[in-house]
Amino acid sequence: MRKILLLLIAVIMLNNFLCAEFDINGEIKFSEMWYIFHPHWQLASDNFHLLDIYGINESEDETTKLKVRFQIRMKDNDLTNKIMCYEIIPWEVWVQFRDLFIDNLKLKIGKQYFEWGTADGIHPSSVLTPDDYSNPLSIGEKIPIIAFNVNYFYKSIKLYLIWIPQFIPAKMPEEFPLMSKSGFTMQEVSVVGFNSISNKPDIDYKGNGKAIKLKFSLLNVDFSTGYFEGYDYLPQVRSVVYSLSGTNQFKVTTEMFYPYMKVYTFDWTTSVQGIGFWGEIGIYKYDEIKTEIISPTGTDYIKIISKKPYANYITGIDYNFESGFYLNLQYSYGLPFVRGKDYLEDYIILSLKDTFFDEYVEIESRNILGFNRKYNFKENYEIMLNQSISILPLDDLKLTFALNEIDTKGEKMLLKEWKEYDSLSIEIKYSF
Amino acid sequence: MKKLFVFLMAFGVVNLYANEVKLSPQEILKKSIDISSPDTMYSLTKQIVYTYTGKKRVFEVKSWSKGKNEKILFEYVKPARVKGDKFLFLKGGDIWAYFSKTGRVRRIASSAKKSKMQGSDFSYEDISMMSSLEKDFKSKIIKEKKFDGNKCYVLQLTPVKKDISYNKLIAYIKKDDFTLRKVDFYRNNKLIKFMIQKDYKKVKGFYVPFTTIMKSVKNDTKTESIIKKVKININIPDKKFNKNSF
Repeated sequence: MRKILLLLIAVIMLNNFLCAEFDINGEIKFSEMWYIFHPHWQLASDNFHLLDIYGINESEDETTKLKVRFQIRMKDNDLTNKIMCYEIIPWEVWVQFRDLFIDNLKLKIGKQYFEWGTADGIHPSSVLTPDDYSNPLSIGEKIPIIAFNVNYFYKSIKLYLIWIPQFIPAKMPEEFPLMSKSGFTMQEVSVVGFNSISNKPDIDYKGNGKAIKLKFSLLNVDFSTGYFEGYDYLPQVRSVVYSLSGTNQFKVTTEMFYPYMKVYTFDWTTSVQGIGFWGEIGIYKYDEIKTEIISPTGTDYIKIISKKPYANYITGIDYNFESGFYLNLQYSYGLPFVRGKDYLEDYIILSLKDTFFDEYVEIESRNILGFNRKYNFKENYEIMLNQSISILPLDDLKLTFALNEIDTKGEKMLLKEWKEYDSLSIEIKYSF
Repeated sequence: MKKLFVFLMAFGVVNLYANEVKLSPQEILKKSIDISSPDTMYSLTKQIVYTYTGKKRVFEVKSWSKGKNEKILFEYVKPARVKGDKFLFLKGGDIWAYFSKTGRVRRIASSAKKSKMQGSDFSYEDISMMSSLEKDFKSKIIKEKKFDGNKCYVLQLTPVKKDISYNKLIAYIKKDDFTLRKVDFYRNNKLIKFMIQKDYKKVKGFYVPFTTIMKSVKNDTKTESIIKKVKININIPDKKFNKNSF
C-alpha cells in the first residue's frame, strides 16, 4: 500500500512538474565561522556555502501550486578535516491542490516542512520535521520530509491531517559535542564522543508518522492543539558495551535506536495592550527507555526516559517600542532537541533588536541563561550570548557579523561540552 | 414677473447654498470614502522608499481589497528578499503576516502596528485605519482651503478608538469631486507625516489616486506608491482574506 501511494505521489508530481513553467527565485549564502578555543586562542574555521534555488508555479485560479527547491551545499571544516564537500539536495518538492473536491480543502503532497507550534524560535511541539544538527552554521534547520498533508478550514477553524509514509531521522553532528538526542545519554555513559559510536541506528524506513491538528480562535486568542504518533527523529542509546581490547584499553560499542513516541501538543498566542503573549507545550510519552551498560564487571541499566509522560514547554512575551526597539523575553523548560524529563533544564531567553539608518543596519542581541532547578544555581549554570549586526548595502544583499559566546559552570549542565566553542561568524546572503 | 424671477433666483441661490452646507463633515468624509472605495479592487503598485541618506528602495506589491477596504491583502512581489510575504488587514484592526520563507502566519501585536511597513513611511496602522475612518473617527470642518490649486474642505478627524496612535488627522477633500487630496497625521499634536494623493483617474465610476506620497516630517523620508495596474469590482472570493488559506 505504501509503495503504491509513494508511486502515486511520484506520478502526480511528475505529471504536474513536466507541464509547468516556473518562476525562479533563490538565495546564495556564504558563511564562515571561526571557533576561538580557549585558553590558547586557537582558531579553527568552518565554512558553509549554499545555493538555494526554488521554482514556484501557481495556476491563475490558484488551485494548483508546485514548488521545487534544490540546494547545493558546500562545506569545509577544519575540525573534521573535511575538505570542501558538495551535496546537491532536492530540498522541497511538492504539489498543492486547493479547493479539491470541496471548497477550502487543501492537499499538499511531497517533500515539505511542518511548522507545528506558534511560539517564537523554539518549538517544543515541533516533532514532525526532523532537525539538522550537522551544520553549526545553521543549526536546528528543519529537513523537509515526504508527507500527505490535508487541511480544511471553515472561518477561523482549521483542521490538519498529516501522514508521513517515510521516516527521516535528524542529521546529527559529526564532530561536535553531542547536544542533541537526549544529550544526556552520552553524558551518562560519559566516555564516548560521537565518532566512537560504532553502530549507528538502523533506520526503519517503514515506520510512518501520523498527526492531527486543530487551530481555532476564541476571544482574540489563537489556539491550536494536536497529536503526533510515530518514530522520534532523535536517537537514543540502547546499549553500551565496554570490551577489553589490549592492556588497559577498552573498546566501546554503542548501539542506538529511534524510539516510538506519542506527543500531545498545545499552543496559544494573543496580544493584550500591545504586548504579544504566547505559549507552547509538547507532552511526550514513550515506552520506558533504558540503556544497557555491559562491561567486563557485569551488566547495568540506566533509565533514560520513563513511561510517565512529561512536558517540554515555552512561554514568552514581546513588545515593539515606538522607536522601533524590539524586546522579546521567553522562558523555556527544556529544549526541542532534549528528550527525557530528567534532562530538561530551565532557560531564560532575552532578545533585543533595533534598526538604524532607515533599517539598513540591524543590531540583535540574543542571550540565554540556562539552569537546572535540581542543582545549586551558583555552581551550575550556562550562558549563551549571541550578538549580531546585519547590514543591507543593497535591497537583496545582507551581511551579518555575529559573535557567539558560551560559558558554563558545573559538570551537570547540558551544554558543558560546548564551553570551548566560542565563535565569530560572517554570513553574506544574496536573494534573487 | 420680474419679482418672480428675482424670487426664483434668490431661492435657487439659497437652495444651492443650503445643499452645500447641508453636508455634515461625516457626510463629506463618507462621500470621499465612497467615491474611491469600490466593493472589490486589485492593484499592482510600485512603491519607492526614499531614505534620508538619499538611497532608493523599490518594492512591488499586489493588493486585493473587499467590502470597501474592510479587508485588505498585500503580497510583495519585489524585491526577492520579501517575495511572497503577505500582510492581511481585517476590519477591527487585526493584522496578520505570512512569511513565505518559513510558511509561518503571525498576528502583528498592536505595539508593532506603529512600525514602518517594510521600511516604508506607511505604518501597519495607516493601512489598517483606512478601512474604518468613518467609524473610528469623528470629524468636523475646520476651514475651507486651497490645496494644490483645488478648493478643499479641511476636516479634522479625531479618533474615538483608544488604540489609534494618532491624536488627530487633518484631511483635505476636494470640494467638487470629494477626492481625498491630503492627510496630515498628528501624534501628541505634533505633525508626524503627511500623505498626498494625486493623479486621480476615474475607473469604472470610482476615483483612483494613481500616485500616493507619504512623507515623514521627522526623518525627512518619503514613500511614493504608483499604481501600475488596477482592476475594479472583480470577483475576489472571501477566502482570499482568510489567514487560514495562506
